[in-house]
Amino acid sequence: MATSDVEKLAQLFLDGDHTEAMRFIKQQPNQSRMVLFKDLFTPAMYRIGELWENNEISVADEHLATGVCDFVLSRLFQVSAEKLSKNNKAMFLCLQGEQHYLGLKMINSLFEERDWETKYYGASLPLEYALKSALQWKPEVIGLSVSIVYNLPVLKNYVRTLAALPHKPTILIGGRLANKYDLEPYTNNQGIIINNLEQAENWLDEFEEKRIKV
Amino acid sequence: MSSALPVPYVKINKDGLIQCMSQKAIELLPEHVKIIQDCFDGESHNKLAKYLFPFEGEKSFEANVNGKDNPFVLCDIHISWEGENAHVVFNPIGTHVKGLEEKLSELRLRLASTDFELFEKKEALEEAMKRLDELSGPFIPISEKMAFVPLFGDITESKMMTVTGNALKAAYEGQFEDIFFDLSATGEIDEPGVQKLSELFRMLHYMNGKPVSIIGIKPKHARQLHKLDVDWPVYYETSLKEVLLQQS
Repeated sequence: MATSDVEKLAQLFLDGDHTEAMRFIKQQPNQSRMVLFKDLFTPAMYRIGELWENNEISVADEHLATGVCDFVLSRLFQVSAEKLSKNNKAMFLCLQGEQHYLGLKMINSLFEERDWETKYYGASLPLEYALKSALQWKPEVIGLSVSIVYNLPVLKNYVRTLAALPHKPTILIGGRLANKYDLEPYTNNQGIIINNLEQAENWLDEFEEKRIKV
Repeated sequence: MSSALPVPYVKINKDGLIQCMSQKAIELLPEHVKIIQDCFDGESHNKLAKYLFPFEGEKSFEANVNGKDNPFVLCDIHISWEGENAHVVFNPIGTHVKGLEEKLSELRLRLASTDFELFEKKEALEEAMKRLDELSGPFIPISEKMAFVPLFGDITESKMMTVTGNALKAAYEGQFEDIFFDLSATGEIDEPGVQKLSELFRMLHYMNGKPVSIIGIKPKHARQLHKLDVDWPVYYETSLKEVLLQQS
């Protein structure tokens, strides 16, 4: 994807122009969610982070861009209520205190595209709520997201508690930090670290392959 | 330096070592902090590094400061160099952004609960309603000089606004001397609708230099119009049939 496309989308988010942003996304030749998320949405949001680092925008601008991006994602990649053949269940949440939820939202959307039934809890979900929901709903997969170093210490606790659930869910761990640091020490070997959207897709491929063989 | 400065202030040397700080800075920053880098969140270090060599004038930037009680205190940082030392002022702006964050969080919840399929149906419905309004007051040229506008259904404000747009455009493009508004197929008339209709009649009067004519007033309308004390700048005729007979 051309850099200018990324810049353009970032600018539309910063301008708060959700209508134009949606039109722009719809005009892209490749409408695969994966491609749009990987080559447009993610780099556009990273670009916005860079602009803050370069002192060109403020945190307030970033908040607006996040809101617009969220709206566009919700609007363009909604779940169709008509699909009934849901096989697998997955729930997604950010650790308590974690407000960076857009990546998680995209992962959730990729799972939905593959006909998974999902529960998306978004930003900052306390462990007790996550545990309660997972106990009742029994998702095969629980996806956790962490983007701020300060929120890392609680990751271990989340992984340990959720992996110990009686139905033995698979714990996926992602977020911006997965890309930057080795999160292995926080997982007690009970979780799978997902560095980026592609790895999530690969994991899904493998999971579904195993399903077919069984 | 007086420690009673009313803002968090830190003086540093070229190596970033803290020389002195105001009382407010002591309250804001971590205890026993020695170098300026330790005052900032790790992810703001890149940003800070750009300002740690002497420059002319003063500069300001936004950064997350490692607070005593909170690891992220968003601050406007103002920095200026004077010889070997830099003056750094921290201005916490977290409270302004907090309101914004709360609004965003509300929006996010609202977004999560929005059924977009329903939302899109609603939008489609609004589109259809508008189309319906357009079709409820067609502007029909009968001859070069005569046009006919039957008003179907209830006369409401939104419908009259749509009809007004179309009628003015058509009247401007054609050269009509007589424009007849027909109320034979009209249902209820409400006050805002009447208001908009009066405006349309007045505008057409200005454009044509001649008042429009109204036909097909039913007794019910007559009562309603009287009650609303309507004083339209128009001629009243009984029916289109009568008008056409008179013309021929």
